[in-house]
Amino acid sequence: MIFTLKEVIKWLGLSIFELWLHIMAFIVFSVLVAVKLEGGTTRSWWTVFIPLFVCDGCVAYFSSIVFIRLYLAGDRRLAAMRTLWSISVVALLLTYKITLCQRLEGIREIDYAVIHVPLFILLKMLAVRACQVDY
Amino acid sequence: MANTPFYRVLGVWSVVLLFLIFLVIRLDKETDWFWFIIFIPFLIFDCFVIFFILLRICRHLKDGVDPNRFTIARKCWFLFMVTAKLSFIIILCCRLENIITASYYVVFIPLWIFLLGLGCDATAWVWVLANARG
Repeated sequence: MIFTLKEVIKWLGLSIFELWLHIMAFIVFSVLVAVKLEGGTTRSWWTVFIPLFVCDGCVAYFSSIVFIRLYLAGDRRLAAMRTLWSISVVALLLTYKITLCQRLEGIREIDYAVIHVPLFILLKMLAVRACQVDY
Repeated sequence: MANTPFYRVLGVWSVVLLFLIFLVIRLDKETDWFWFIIFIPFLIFDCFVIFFILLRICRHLKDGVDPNRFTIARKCWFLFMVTAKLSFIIILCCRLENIITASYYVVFIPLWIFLLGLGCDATAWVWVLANARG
């Protein structure tokens, strides 16, 4: 209602399929979080985060396929820019999730301010992208 | 001017940034603010969106047409989704403040309704795109 689908996709730099993947992974993740918080499982936080890790893997795989197809089609600049953006987003989100899991499991006692740094960097990148993208 | 995508992006971006800053401060125990204060950016934003949708429904009913060509049913669907999200935030805050002692399964129900709605919409978008490409 606030944004059209086209505006969301342009701002976030994701395809519809990637957006769908993120939503589906988050649904499964939210169920696992509820089970974990209620003590319904003794499994670690790494297990709870598996859907999000799988989603990141799928997005990375999808991006590499798109890169190859764009490269073969001769659109090298677009291929490089799109892949660079996707890799940056996946790397930042993955760093955030791994450090958060380490903190929740008590492996490393890092401040939450430090754990959230990748998200702040991502927000900064999104701010720059918002100024560049032609809606 | 104020309705261009850039200003809407700026609004959403500011809300997320403010929430993350509040969340980090609260999680690092630098402050013992109520969880409602931490979630205030999202609470205000959701209330604004609900008001905006109601306004659009009223204008649609008055003029009989919508500039963005959304039907009344579609607008009611958006309203339902945002209300589910707002309910989740309020119930979660109550649970974190121990105002209620409900199970987390109950707390997460509005979030699951919201996410499943979003998932259905997203599946429809992927379906339409797949069919359009043949």
